[in-house]
Amino acid sequence: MSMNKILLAVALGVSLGIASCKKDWDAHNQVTDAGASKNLLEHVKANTSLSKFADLLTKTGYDTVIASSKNYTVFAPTNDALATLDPAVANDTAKLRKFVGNHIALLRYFTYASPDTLRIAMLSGKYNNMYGKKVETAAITTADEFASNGALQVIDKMLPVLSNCWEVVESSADFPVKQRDFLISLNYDGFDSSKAVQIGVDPVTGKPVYKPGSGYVASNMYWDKVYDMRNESQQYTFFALQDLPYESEKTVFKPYYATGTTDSTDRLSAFCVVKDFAIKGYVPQDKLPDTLVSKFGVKLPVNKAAIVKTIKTSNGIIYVMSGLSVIPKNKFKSIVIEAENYNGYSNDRRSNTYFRDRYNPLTGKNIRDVLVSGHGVAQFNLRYDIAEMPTLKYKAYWVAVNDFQTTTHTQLLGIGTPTSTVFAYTTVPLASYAEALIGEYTHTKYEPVFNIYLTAANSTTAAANPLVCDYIRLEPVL
Amino acid sequence: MYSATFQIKKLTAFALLLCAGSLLGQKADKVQTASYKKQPNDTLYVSGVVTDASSKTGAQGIRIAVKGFSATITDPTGNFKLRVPAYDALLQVDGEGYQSVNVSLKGRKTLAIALHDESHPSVYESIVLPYGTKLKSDAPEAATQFQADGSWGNPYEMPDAQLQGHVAGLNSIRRSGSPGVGANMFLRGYTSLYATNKPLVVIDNMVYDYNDYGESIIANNYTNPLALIDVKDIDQVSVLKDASSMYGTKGANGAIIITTARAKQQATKIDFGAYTGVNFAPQNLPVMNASDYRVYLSEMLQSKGMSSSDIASLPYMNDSKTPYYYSTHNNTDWQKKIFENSVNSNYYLKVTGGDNIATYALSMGYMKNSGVVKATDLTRYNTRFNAQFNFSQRFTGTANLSFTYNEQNLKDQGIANNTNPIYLSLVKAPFFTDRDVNENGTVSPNLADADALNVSNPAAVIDVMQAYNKYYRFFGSFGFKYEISKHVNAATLFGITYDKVRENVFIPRKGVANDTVPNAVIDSRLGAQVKRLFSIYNDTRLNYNNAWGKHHFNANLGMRYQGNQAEQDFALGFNSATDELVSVQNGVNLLRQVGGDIGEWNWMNVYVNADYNFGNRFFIGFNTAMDASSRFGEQTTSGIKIGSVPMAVMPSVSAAWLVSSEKFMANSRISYLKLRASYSFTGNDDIGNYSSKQTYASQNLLGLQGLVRSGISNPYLHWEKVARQNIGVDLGFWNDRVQLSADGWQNKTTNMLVYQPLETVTGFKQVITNDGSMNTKGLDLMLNVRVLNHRNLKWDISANASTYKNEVLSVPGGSFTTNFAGATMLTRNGDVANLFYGLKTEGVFSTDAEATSSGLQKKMPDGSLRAFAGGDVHFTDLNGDKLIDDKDRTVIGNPNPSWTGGINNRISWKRFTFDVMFTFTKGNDVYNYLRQQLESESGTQNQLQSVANRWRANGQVTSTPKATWGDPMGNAAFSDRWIEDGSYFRLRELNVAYNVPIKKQGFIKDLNIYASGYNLLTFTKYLGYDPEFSANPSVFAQGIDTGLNPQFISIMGGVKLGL
Repeated sequence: MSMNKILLAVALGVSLGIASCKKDWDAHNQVTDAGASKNLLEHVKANTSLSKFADLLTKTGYDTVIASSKNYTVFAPTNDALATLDPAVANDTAKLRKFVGNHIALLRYFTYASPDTLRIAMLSGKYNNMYGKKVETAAITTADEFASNGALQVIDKMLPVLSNCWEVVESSADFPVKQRDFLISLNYDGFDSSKAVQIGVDPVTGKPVYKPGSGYVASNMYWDKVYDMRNESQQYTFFALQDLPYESEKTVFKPYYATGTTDSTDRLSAFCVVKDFAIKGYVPQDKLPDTLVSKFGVKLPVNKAAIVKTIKTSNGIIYVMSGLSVIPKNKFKSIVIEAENYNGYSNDRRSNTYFRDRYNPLTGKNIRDVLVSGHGVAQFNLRYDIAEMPTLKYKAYWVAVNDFQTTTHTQLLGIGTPTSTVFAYTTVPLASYAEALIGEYTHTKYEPVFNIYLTAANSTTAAANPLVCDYIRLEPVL
Repeated sequence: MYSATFQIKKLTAFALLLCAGSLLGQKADKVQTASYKKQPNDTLYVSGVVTDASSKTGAQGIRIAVKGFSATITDPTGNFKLRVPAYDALLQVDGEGYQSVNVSLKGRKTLAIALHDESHPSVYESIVLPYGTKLKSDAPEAATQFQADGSWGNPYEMPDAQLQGHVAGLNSIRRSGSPGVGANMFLRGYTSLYATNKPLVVIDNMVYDYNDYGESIIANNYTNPLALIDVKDIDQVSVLKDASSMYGTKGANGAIIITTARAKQQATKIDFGAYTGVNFAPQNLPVMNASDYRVYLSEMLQSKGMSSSDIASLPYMNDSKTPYYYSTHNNTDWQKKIFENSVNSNYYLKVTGGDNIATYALSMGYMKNSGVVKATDLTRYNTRFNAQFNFSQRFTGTANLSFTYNEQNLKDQGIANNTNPIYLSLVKAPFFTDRDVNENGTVSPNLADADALNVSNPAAVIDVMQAYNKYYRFFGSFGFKYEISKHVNAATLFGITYDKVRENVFIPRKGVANDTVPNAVIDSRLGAQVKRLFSIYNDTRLNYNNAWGKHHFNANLGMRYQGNQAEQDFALGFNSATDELVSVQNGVNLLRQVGGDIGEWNWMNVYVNADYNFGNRFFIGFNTAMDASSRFGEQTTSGIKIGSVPMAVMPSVSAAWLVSSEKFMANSRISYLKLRASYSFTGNDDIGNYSSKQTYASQNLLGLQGLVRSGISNPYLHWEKVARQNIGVDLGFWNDRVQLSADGWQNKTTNMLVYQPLETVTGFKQVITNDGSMNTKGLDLMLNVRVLNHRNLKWDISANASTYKNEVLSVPGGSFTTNFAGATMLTRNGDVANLFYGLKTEGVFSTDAEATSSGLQKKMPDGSLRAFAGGDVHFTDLNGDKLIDDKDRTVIGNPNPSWTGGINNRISWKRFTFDVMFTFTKGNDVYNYLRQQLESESGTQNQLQSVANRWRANGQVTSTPKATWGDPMGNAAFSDRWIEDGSYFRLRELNVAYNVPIKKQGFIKDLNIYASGYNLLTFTKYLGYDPEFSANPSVFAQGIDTGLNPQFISIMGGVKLGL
């Protein structure tokens, strides 16, 4: 055997060996399922009933997206479903892209894994709800076809791109004008330092100096205080009153917002009306109960007969109503002030201040109260700030538990000032967990911030001047 | 083929038969002896012809002799005539270029002797045994010889790895592909669970300690003291498989006796070798590419509960041109970043020579062997000086001195998930890159930091991590021998081992994911370690040697002493201020950890040995050793006591009958037949230096430092006893052209070290006792065939195979489990030790409905039950309680091979010699930890391409479960999914040597050119880099692929020049 032949044999052997070694891996790595070896685009193209949707994918550039290396769920409407596509959408590139994007979601969603409603973010920026074999109003006819990069759901209806609740408020002709005007009047420019351009540092304060005009973002008081109804990921049920009932509803609440000017009274009462109109969550008309509860705990009596118009939005629903009156008794709740959460004190007596955990045998609940004793200050007081206090008559109560000494003591609820004479000094009985009525008081003017005080006896004797309180409750008398 | 029939009874019966045979033989001899006397000696002649077995022509100049009686040489036609003392005399035949043979006359008066060339393995070659050199045909022991003869063709081998496939019964498993790391050797299975299973290594009559004392601070690195020996210094290696009782309590696992280079002639001979070679990076494991991985990752993140907007906002999921686009949109082949083809070089010079007063062999070598993992290598500088002195006619001496210095650059290996470059290269997301990239795509030379998925940058581990090891050993001895009389001589040997290992580690903060210790987050890691071993050795003996008539008697009485001191000191530091401060003192003071270990132990061994040979046909060997060791408990009741010192007594007896030298075999086709049997007691003293003593450990309690008892002492603790039985037959046919050898053996361990569980009230969990027992039996087969025997073309096949079966006889409680690398192993009475013990699987549920109908559930950590769903693995509910848990575990694999061995081919053709060696292992199961990690589908780590087959939706039929964050249903739990067949058949070595024709009388005496390839072909079904690995010498770590550096293919070319 010549050297050449030997080398040849060795070379053959080596290549055979490598081939045989590789085979085991090939067998191990072989993708056994045809579905998993093709990507979503290939799946869409393979289905002849989706040819129109495939064309739209190509037209909008989403074909490369769903062929890429991320997981997607494609809700592909059949050719029949796409037959009614609005030409206005079909001929507008931007709208069409948004329309097609509204059928594609990042990540995989399977029908068998969505027994509860899944709110799925679509590439259009909108969300669609999937529940079992339904997505929005469309039914999934061929479900859970899996591809190497996601899932394909064939649907029998299109998923049109809808406006969201706030877009409807701002621009829909169906939305009542007066309520819209008020809501838009709540716009303001907010400052967001993360969006501002910093141009330097103030040498004196060390604080950043921003480029003038930068960092301002359009905002709205309603978004801040109630709900930001632009949020696509959440769903809202929103009520709008037609102009006339809106005005009359405002009139009902104007007396509670007595201020110096009619304008401010008008605004305050308007806000008082609309703040309870937004409900988190999507309540379809057929499931509307007779009462809904707002974010602020106010009961909204919903009369289905008063619904004038229903506007479906991408993040919920808006009902235009001919009437939706809330009685003041439901609107105004008791003001409860936890005594340990005071906003200020007359003297720094933190070393004499105790926050006590107690069990209230009357309510069966654990409570935490405040006790200031041995402070040695005559008329020592704690201050509480109450925001937005409407003009109303209140009954004042407190719970004060004197279980720290054997003698009773007196303390004062100061309205407006620490030594106010609206109420007299009240004796705190020994070891009483009961709510004690202090008296009645009429608040005559709406205050954005109103102070009340807990004031100790005019004495420096420790046994006479302690302050103790669990909470103070101001109950509107309506 | 092999059945378990090795029972003591049969052995005893056989021994009796042997004795009877020997008595008969003696009777026959008496008759013959009587006939001697009748005839004058000078009337007895034998004549014959000696031929060359390959050319079949007469061989001239062959020396034929009857030892101490007569001698002659053959004439040009090969004829001879020799005076003999009797017609059962033994003729010794040898000639240059031919193998030496002994020919028993067996009554014949004319002989036809065909001699093979010296490359053919001979049954009459001499073999080095503990008490000197014997002819293989005369040895009653089961001993095999590996003629290394300098291994000029295999310069890069390590002595332990080199024996792989050469010796029946020796399973030498290379630890990993790191240069110099060598092999874990198991001679005839194992004899112990917790003590060592390493055979004793004796080099030039001195015990060579090759333990790696104290763990390396470089993850899973093994410092192999045998790497300090240059294989080119080795002349021959004998492997003694039984009758190792002369080594007393160090002989439980047999012995490997290495003889290093010696001058064979007085003329000065200079040999110089120069070699270079290439190691080839292994084939990539098929991990997913960037796009497949990203799909997998988004599925995983969805399963983690991330919303689509959160996922969309991740830089690597965002395909628009963000500032991070270029650093997160790549397709990096990470394995290419850490593996490379590397170059080796090796130079070696050996000078031998001397005069009639002294002969010497001096060698020096340099080797640099690079690994296939970048920045790993081994550099060795070795010197050896062996000399033999004749001070006077009767007084001789030897000196064997060697000094070797090794330097190793290493990387973490195995389970070190933040720093093992191989593991990192497999799990690292391919869309990242190894360098910093700015927003315009400009690549910086700076290494990228650990990525957003908290995986270290393998390139940073390669480039910046430092892990090096410097170790040296002086191993030297002086021996003296005085011939007191013709029959009596005294010899002594003094030797010293001085060994030092220094290790340094630095893991940078940049590029490596942070780790945690109990009181800190650690970024950079620093470490230094020094290990020392100092050992003195003495072996003094009195030898009596006499022969009268047909009786040969040789006896030794001696004593060995070994005193050892080992010390280990390490310091670990963390969080040095910058990555430029790399030495351990730069770590933060508060976090520094220091520790170490001191071990001192002494061993004394008194031994008696007697070998008796009758008529060169019957051989009996008797050995006994009496051992004392500082490790033995003072109150042990085993063995005998001298004074108050407990001593282990280890006797052994071995016998052989050379049937083919009997007269009745005179005309047999069987040219060689020897029956052997041996029974020996050996011991294992690897019971811990201080395990029998009361020890204390320092402990910190609320800032107070104190001493607490670190365990319960067991003053009764003593050596493990191993009773070794062996019966063997050696056969030669057709003038020894076919040689067969078979050995059946059994090793029974009693007093085996085990951990006995303790009652809680003791305050300790367990105590070490001698309460276990185990039995291993097996079969070793060897076959030598000269397939082709032409003048210019000769082909020898030397094949061996061995098998063993282990059985645990008793362990405390009947069974226990051990854990390693996430695997659980079961050891129980009546079964093989160390069986893989896990869940059985029946595929993957294809739908939720299928899973529901099975009704299977799993208990979550919070105690709740969760039902299996579509895409989960269908585990077999063995106990039928519908709950998948530890109670459903069963034996799912056995890491012990059913057969191991090697096939060596030597083909010589004209001046070429081809050595082709195959090694194989069959029937061993392997736990593929690395694949378990790469198919666990439980996190963000990259996975194998097979994960593309994962279950995705209801109705999919596949064998790969779904990807779920954290794997709550335990789909990746230790189960038969990860057990693979580790069998392989490998072209281990292909060696071509060409002996260049040189003009005689020239300056150059000989010139050889070598070309070799190693691991060229491996046939295996194993799904990993390579099926050969051994993470750890422990029995409980065998068969587990933890991702050590893989074996690789390499080729080498070299030249040897003789002056």
